[in-house]
Amino acid sequence: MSKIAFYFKMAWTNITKNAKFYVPYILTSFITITMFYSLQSFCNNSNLPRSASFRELMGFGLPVVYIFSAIFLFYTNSFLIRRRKMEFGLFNILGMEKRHITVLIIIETLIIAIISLMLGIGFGILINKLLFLALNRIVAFVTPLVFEFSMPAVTKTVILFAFIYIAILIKNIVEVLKVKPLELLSVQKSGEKEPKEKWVLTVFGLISLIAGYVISITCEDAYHAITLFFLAVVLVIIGTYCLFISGTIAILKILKKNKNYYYKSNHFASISGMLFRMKQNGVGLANICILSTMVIVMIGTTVSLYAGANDIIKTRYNREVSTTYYGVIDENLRDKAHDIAYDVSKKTGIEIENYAEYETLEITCGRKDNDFDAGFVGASLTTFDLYMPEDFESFYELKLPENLESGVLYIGASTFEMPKDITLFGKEFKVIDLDLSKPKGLMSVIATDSCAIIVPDEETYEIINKLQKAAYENTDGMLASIPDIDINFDLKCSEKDEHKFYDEYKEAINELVDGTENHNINSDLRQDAANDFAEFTGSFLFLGTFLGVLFLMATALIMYYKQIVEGYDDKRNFEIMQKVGMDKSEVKSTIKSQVLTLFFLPLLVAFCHMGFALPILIHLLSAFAITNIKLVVICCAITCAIYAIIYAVVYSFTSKTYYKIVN
Amino acid sequence: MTLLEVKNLQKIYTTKSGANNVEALKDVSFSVEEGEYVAIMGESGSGKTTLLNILASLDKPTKGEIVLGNRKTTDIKEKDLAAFRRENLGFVFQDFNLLDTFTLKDNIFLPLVLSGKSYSEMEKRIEPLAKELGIEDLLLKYPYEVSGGQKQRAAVARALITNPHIILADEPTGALDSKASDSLLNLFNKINEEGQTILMVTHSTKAASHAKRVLFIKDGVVFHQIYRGDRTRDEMYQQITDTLTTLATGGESRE
Ligand SMILES: Nc1ncnc2c1ncn2[C@@H]1O[C@H](COP(=O)(O)OP(=O)(O)OP(=O)(O)O)[C@@H](O)[C@H]1O
Ligand SMILES: [Mg+2]
Repeated sequence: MSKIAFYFKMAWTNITKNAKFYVPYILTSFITITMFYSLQSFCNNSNLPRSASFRELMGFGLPVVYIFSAIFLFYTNSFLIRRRKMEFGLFNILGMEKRHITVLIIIETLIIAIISLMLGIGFGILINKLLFLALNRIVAFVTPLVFEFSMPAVTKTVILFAFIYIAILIKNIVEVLKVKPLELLSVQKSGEKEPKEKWVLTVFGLISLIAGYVISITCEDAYHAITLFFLAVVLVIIGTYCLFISGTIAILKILKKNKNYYYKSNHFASISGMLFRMKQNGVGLANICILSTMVIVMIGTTVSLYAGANDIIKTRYNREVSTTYYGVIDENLRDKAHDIAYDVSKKTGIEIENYAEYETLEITCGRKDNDFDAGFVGASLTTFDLYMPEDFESFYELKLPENLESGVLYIGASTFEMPKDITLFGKEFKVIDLDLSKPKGLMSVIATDSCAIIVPDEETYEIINKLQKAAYENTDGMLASIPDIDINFDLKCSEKDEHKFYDEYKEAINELVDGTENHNINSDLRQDAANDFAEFTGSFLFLGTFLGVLFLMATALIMYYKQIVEGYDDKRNFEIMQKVGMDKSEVKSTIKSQVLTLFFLPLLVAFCHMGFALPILIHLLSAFAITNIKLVVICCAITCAIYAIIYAVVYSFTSKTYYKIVN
Repeated sequence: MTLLEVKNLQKIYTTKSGANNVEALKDVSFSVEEGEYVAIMGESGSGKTTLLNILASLDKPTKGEIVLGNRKTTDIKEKDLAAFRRENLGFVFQDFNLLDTFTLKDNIFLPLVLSGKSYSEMEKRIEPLAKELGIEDLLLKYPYEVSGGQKQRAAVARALITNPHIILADEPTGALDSKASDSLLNLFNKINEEGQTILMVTHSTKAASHAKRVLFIKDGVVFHQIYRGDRTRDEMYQQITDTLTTLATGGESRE
């Protein structure tokens, strides 16, 4: 028998002998590879929908899945190598040289990698087919997707995962070769010091966590939500890790110091057990907690987005046809636009309803305190939309107060706190907020600071227009704004017939701007926009669920690993306690309280995070025009509930393994 | 007064197939008086550990009964066994069986905590005990921070702290070097002189020579026993050696 064959045989025996540890490891590899391959082949699919947003979203998910796979494989491997070190130490003592051990480790890794890749990609192809069916169902694609096998996806998956395996292999070899045989043998036996409380870390974690929470609670608008969300997430993650690593130990230490509490049969074993457990598993528990939070937040928000899609469309397009003429080409543009619409109506026989039009001047300027001007380099940008009162009233179907004072600016809606007195392009203005409830269709998808201003009369309008023209002409590289015209109306016909009208209409309005420069038209039909948007939110939902399921599986596997590893650690302890006179039911209840606390703590903390994240999430979703707070809360609550159920099921499955080992 | 009475004990280890059943104990009977110090010897595989486990009610005999004080331990219900063990028996094991996650002090407290004693009571009990065993300064250390002999002394303290009727020890010197063994055996002599009943299983002739009586087990029965009486420890040692030689050469039993 050749040497290599001998090594293969030995490696195979090792793997099968340690099946209890290898099966979950291979399972992890296989699941992450399946996920990665499916996502990758989605991205490579040539007949993906026309909207780029879907492809972009998927592309965004890929690195996340990859990094996550790497972290996760390293994590599961660390459990494995801890066990295997002893075995390799024994081989070494029995006379196996280090280079033989190295070869053995390489071959073992090779076998694992090949099995995982074959299973993962094979299953990935299968899953892909199912996912296409699912995706076609969730996302209303205009042309159904066709499944296709993607060789580049296979190659990319194999190469990228080969990198991970090589990195793990190097880590394992270094780790095994680093230690001396005697140490190897005593890896398990060497005592562990009781963990020390690290107050600095605890306080730091607490501050970080509270800071994250405060950002969320005090968040007031979409703009702040978008800019601060990432910071809040990072703070909460740091806080969670610190507190799981040191905070839990600090609490347990305090409990332990209270002698009358500690020396009670139902606290004694569990407190000291958890104290040591926390030292090893603080990070693992924090992982579970963060993953759970991600799953809940991701699915909760994407479900909210999906469920609120109809609202979004209704708010954004207050009538079925919306046309914007950017830049007024001539004095009679309003009339021309009106005529075009009614001509097409006559021609197609489809009646027009709720015809509304307005002219608006959009100016963007820099802001310094209460001073708004053109040339503020690096200042925060603010956008003002100026409306005439009649236009505003007809368009948004509301009544403005009578006799607005000339020279005063009235706020129709604003995404930020407008000062009472401002200086606009060097002239002072008084500002009055009309306190209108936000009109439908107004500034629904604007994230930056912007403000809709109603100008009381023609005179004030002209003053501002002149001011801005003058200001921008004196500023290099800037163009003064030209008023835009918006025309919106409904059609009195079925959704199908709307297209008959719209196609002709679109052609007609395009003729209007043909041959002109710097002018263009944007026109939307509400149902088309709704379809596009459904595609967008659908892919969001899909990606959210996809990543959510991935993280969920990761959580389940971490839990499984923890149970096994801890089971073996605890077995001896419980045997001794039974010998000293602890009865079976006491052992059981101790195990139960310990395991329950350790497993449900991360879930509880995750729910706590979710609760505190709600305010910022609500503002974040408002940037997507989801304003129905109740809907968001309900979606998140349902997600939490379902997650809790799945978590409990996973727990009960994995804890069975633990009890089997301990007894 | 008789403290422990063992009557016609039999233990058969059954395998699933039933083909390889092992009769570890055939018919063992003996009794232990209060305040006695008894050693049990026998070849490897003769059933010593089996006997001790049954005495400790960690295992059930196939036949026979055990009376401790005036209670038949073989009749005690499963759920009361742990408490019975905790309150009446003290154990010293060859591999100490200390919990790594507890300090020596907490290890010693374990049976008291399980019995629901108050902390002040525990403190009161450990103080003289630790002094006597010479581990006062080690109480706050963890098992891996102390030597084998010190570990074993902590294990003895854990066995004694409940004031048990009888101490059961399975090869208590098995993992110790000769100096630590001597120290432990002297300790056993000392606590025995103070009235503590001890039953010890051992391979070591030297350890057995410390006892007041030595029982020899062979082929699942009590084959022979010798009383120390007025003999010195050296004479006892010689006597045990002779007996072991006779046993090994298959000699007849003589009482
Ligand atoms: N759990 C068990 N199942 C089956 N057979 C067992 C079991 N435990 C012990 N035996 C058998 O019972 C017999 C007595 O074992 P025991 O452990 O009592 O011997 P011992 O006298 O303590 O030996 P040693 O001096 O080596 O410790 C042996 O033949 C052993 O193989
Ligand atoms: Mg034995």
